[in-house]
Order: sequence, then structure tokens, then C-alpha cells
Amino acid sequence: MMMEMDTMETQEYQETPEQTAPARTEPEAGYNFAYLDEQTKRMIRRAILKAVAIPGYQVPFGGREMPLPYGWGTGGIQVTAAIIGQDDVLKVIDQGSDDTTNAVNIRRFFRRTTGVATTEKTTAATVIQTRHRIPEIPLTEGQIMVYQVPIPEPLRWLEPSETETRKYHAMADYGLMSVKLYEDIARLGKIETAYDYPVIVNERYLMRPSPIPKFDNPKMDKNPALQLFGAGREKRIYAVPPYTPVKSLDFEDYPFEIEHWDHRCAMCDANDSFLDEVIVDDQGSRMFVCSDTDYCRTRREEQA
Amino acid sequence: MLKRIVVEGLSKDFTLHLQGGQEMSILSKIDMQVDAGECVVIHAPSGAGKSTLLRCLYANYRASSGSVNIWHKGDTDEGGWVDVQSAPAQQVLAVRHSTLGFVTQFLRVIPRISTLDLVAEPLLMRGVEKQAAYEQAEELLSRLRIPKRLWQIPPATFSGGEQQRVNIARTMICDYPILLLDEPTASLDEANRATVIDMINAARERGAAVVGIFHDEVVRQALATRIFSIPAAVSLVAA
Amino acid sequence: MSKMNIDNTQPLLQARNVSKFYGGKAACEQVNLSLYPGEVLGIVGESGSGKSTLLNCLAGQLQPEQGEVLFNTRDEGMVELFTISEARRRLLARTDWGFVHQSARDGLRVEVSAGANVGERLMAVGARHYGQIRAEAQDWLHRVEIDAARIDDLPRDFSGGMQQRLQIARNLVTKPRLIFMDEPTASLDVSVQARLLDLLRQLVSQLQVAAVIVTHDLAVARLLAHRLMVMRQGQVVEEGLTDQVLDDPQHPYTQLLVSSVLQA
Repeated sequence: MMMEMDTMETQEYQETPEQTAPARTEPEAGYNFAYLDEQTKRMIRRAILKAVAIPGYQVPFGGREMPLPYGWGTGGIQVTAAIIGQDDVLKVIDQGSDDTTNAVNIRRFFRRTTGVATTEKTTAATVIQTRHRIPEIPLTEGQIMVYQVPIPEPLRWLEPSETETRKYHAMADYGLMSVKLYEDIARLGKIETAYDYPVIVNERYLMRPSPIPKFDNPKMDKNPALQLFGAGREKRIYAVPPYTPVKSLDFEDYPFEIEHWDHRCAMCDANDSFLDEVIVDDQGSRMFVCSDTDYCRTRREEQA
Repeated sequence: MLKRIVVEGLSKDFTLHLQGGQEMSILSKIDMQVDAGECVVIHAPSGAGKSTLLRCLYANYRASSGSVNIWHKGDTDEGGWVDVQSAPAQQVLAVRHSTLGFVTQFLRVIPRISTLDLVAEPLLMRGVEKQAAYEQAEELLSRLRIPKRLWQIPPATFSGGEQQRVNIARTMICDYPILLLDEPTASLDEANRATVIDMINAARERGAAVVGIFHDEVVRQALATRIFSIPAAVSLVAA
Repeated sequence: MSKMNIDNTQPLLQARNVSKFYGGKAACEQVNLSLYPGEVLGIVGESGSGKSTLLNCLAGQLQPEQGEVLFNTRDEGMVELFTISEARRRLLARTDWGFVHQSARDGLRVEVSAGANVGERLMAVGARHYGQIRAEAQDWLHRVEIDAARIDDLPRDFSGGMQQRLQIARNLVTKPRLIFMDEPTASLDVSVQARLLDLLRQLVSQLQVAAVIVTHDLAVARLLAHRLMVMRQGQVVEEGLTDQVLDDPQHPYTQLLVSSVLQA
């Protein structure tokens, strides 16, 4: 389902679907490259280095005031801003789609402040900022995924105290998380968590992968790309370096399972991607389509 | 070796702080020895310290001076003397567990524990298998004429005589090498008294050393192999 | 009273000259004690005597200003509780110790089910099989005389006595060698207390677990403890075997305490 282009746009940057060779443009004057000042970028990079050195560990960082409110991706934007370079090619998705309002705005923000080339093709991107999905097309070495994270602390639901949760992490005391999964099974017969499903990174730290569907969890495991996570409101950065084991929590007799659909994508006929259910008319007719718009379009082009 | 209890220079004073620090000297430099197979009856006027002496033997009362030496055989050793008045707590408890049995004058009631459980408990503590322990308990309670309908009830509501018989059963169910008895027949009728006398004599005949306080002259005659007298004087020292 | 394992010559827990001050005032002063495996030590005294402070020092929750608290670990022998890292202390607290609070709310997770409460410690030490965790939780509920069918109920649906028993199950599930109890029956009705005490007595005896029980109730001490320590204004004024202290009190304060108990 293609969303309407933002026709209220009156400034000089028109958003065009770029499917082939993306090109650099001139950044807007008056802003430092990528909006943040150089010292801030260094500070964030230091935090990122720490995060990469300790996979899954939440590193506090001095989050800056950004031109959009908390809850809209300020953490992810700050991470991207700290790592993006002139020769990078940026892809931004929101719920798998490149053309939702948030994705469009964030992509435009970076074009205005950096002039970097942007793309909708996963295979063409060097940096991919995402909210709530991992692309279906496998990532490769050299690519960087930046996840937008609302609440970084996986134990927050049972333990409101930050000092206590930090101690749990320090001592790998994760019984609480198992308690939650136990409760789900006791009450509902299965583990109910469907997104933001907790994982153990590098057999050590318990991590929240951000509200991606559990369908995407296996993609994080030993991924060749670098995965960075930014939480703006909570001011935490964490990371999963390339080829790091990421295991979703489960019980031996209730193993982790991903979602399955009875349908295939109505547009490209895929049976291996995460499908969105879309209501098409007032009678409630519905169809299932790939959430990852790039994946769907690529498949359709190959079939054409 | 037949010696089981050797008391040397045992003195017991009480200081009643709530009565302005009044001091009472109840026992003064008592020496005593009890051998296996003996039944020593402590004889003295009322208030002269019979119970006090018995309690000192059990280390329930702490002596002001002197020693109470008990011949104790643990699970793994050949035996040795333990002065229960100066030994560490763990040792005293060990001695009480396997060597020293004490039938107190009154039953201490624990809520919710049935009579049968109470009597079987000492055997269970010794690792006796559950079925065997309960069978023995039932046998003993039958012998002491505690009606079967009372077995599942905690003894709190029993008569004095019934409580006393439960108390006796609870201690006599184990074969203690040393038995201390404080008026075990006081509330019993003739039939039960006779049974208890038989039980004590049987214990003595199998080698136990028995020390007891018995009010009743008939009982004393039936049981005592020797009388031990305590001097009657109780000196009150003004604070 | 349970049989103690007197073959062990090494104490399980030892306090040496433990003193804890609040401001300039000593909550407990120069306390020495040794606790052996399977032994139950009662600490009695009135409120303000320092008994709860001492208990918390022994349990590694409060660091004393002076003195040492030594625990005989399974793998490393005697360690001083406040010299080892907090991580190790917390691990010990989760596996080898239990702590039963006066109020069940302090010792339970009130927002998760009874089963989760009992199973948490198992999960914390790596149990990963839901069916087995649940089976063990049911077994423990049964042992503390809670209907195992109530395994999915929340603690708030239980009576005070049941909550307390649930707290005990939660602590005992990892078979700790030492359990601390702070007035375990104080907030319960008398009839409920009896049941709980009976349960504690049995469990302590069956599991051969050592215990330190703080109580102001001499009857509780008499029933559960092998040994007794009497505290007054931060000092230990008397100690000995339970029956010794209660039947032949030496110290004026102990005599006062014993004589003040009403007989029903």
C-alpha cells in the first residue's frame, strides 16, 4: 500500500523514490554536519565503542536536545548522526516501510544536514535506521543497522529501580525475566510476548531488541552487520557487534517460536516475510502484504 | 566400665533479682555417682533441692560450681566423659539426644502435634523408619492404657494422669543409657503406676542408669537400688 | 527439636565482635556467636534491643562498623561477608541462605503468582524447564500446606498465614543451609501462628537447615530454638541452651522477661 507523498512539502527538497544510483546533494547551510556538534559526536562514538566492546550492555550517554520530541526516534537519530559520513548511503524505515511520515522526515532531516545519498534499497544502503522492523533481505558485512528504542531496560516492568536493574545486569541475575515468561505460560498457556522479545547477547547480557516483532529476532543472531541501538529519552546506547550470538529467551519445554501466516503476500506472493494485515474497504475486506516495502517491490520487479 | 554419672562438688545458688537480689543456696558441694543398672532415688524433704539436682544432671539448671560428668557414647566413638555443665552447647545437645533421657514432672504441650506424633518423634529423630516408629509408639501408648481414640488428638486437653503417661512414653520409647525421672508416677492410678514401675525396672535391667524422684513410698520401695539424700538446709542470704 | 549434626566442628556462621552504630548510639555491640549446621539459634529481646539489627548484619544486609561475620561457603570455606563482593553476597543470599520477613509483603513478589514466587529462585540459578519448575513449585506448596491447585493465584488472594507459608516455601526451594527469620509469626493471629510454628519446626528438622530466629515471643523461642541469646539495648546479656535460659535465667533482665510471660 503506497502512502501518499507529502504534497504539503513546499521547500526545495522533494522526496523522490530512489531505486538506482543514489546521489549526494548539498547540505543546508547553518548546520554542522549531521546537526550535532563534533564534540557531541565524539561523545556518542565513545559510548558506541563501549557498547560494541560489551555486547548488549546499556551505555549511558549525554543525549542532546533534538528537533523532535522523545518517542519519535531521537536516540536512533543521534546514533546515526554520530556515525554517518559523507560517503554513506542512508535508508530509513518505519514499520518496514520507507514511505511513512516518520521515515520520510528522518531521511529528509539527514539529507538537509549532511547531503548524504539516500536510498530505499536495503542492498544499496550502508546505514539503515529503523523503527520496529529488520529488513527481510539479509544484511551484509559493512552495513550498520540503527534501531530506535523506547525503553532499553528489559527488567523495567518488574523492577522500577534503575540501581536495582543495573545490579541485576552486573550479576547476570536474570531470574526475573524468566519469571515473566513463566507467568505468561501459567496464565495464557504460552509466552505471550510478541514483540520486543528479550534476548541474551553473547551469552551474557539480557537485552531488549526494541519493538521489532519476534519474527525478526532470529535475524539478529550472528548477523554480519553491526547493530546499534539508541534510546533518546532514557539516554542509553547498546550494540550487537557483527557475528555475535543472540538468543531469544525461552524454556526447554516451551521453545521460542516465530509467527506464521496462513496467507501469502497479496502483492508479491512471498510466504517468508512478515505480513501486515490491511483493511481495504468499509466492509472489512482485508489483505496481507509484506511489511518490508523494499522487499516486496524487489520481488515484484523480479517477477515482472 | 559401669560408671555413668559422676558429680563432683556440685553447688547451685539462685539469685532472685526481682526480689531485690535475694540469694538462695540450694545445693552445696554435692558429690554423687551412679552406675549402670542402678536406680538411685533422690530423697530429701520438700524444697530441699531434689528437682534442682535432677535438673543440674540434665544441664537444665546451670551449676554455680562443680561438675556433672556423663559417660557419653556418640555415633562413632567408643565413649568418653562429658561435663554437661561446662561443655559447649552442641555437645550437651548431643548427650541429651542419645544418652540422657529426662521425664519431666509436667508435659510441655506443643499445639497441633497429636499424641501419636509426639511419642513417635524421638524415634523418627533417630532415623527409625516411619512405619516402625509409629508401631512402637502405638504399642507403648496401648501399654500405658491411653485409649486409641486419643492418639490423634494433641494432649493439651488430657487429664493430668494421661498427660504424664504420654510424657513417659515419649522418653521411654528410646533406650536411653541414663534416665532421669521427676515424679513420673505422681498422677497415676495403681494399674498405670505398676506398668511404669515395670518399665523402669526393665530399663534398669538392660543396663540403664536411673536417677529419680518419687513421692510415693511404695514406688520407692519397688524401684530403688539406693537412696541418695540431700541435706535439708536451704540458706537464705539477705541481699 | 531436631537432631543436630555434631560431627561438624566448623561453624556455619560466625560473628566476631560485631558492632553496628546509628549515629553515636550502638544498635548492637561486640556480639560474638557461632552457629553450627542444623542448629537453631533464637535471639530474643524487646523492641529496641538490637536483635533485628544484628540479624541484618548476620544476613549480610547491613555492614557493621566493627567486627566480622564469617560464613562457611560450600566451595571456598570461611569467607568474611563484607569483604567479598556484593555480587557474591547476593548470590549466597539467593542460593545458600533464606530470609523470612515479618511481613510477607517484604518477602514476596506480590504481582506474580504463587508458583512464580516459589519458582523464581530456581529460575535465578538456571532452571530452564517450565514443567519441572512448576512441578517443584507444586511440591513445595504442598509441603507448606497450601493447596497446590492455587499455584496460579496471586499472593493477595491468600490469607496472612498462607502468605507467610508461601514466603517460607520461596526461601526453602533452593535448599539453603541457613535461614534467617525476623519475627516470622508476629503479624499473624495466634491460631495461625501455631500452624506456622509447627511447619517451621518440621521443615527445619527435615531439611537439617540452620536458622537464626529473632523473636520477642518466648514461646516461639522455646519451641523452635536449640540455643538462645537474650539482647537488651544492643548487648547480649545472656546466652545458653533454650531450656537453660528460660528455666534458669541468670541475668536480671532475663529473669524479668521470663517472669513477665502470661500463662493462658
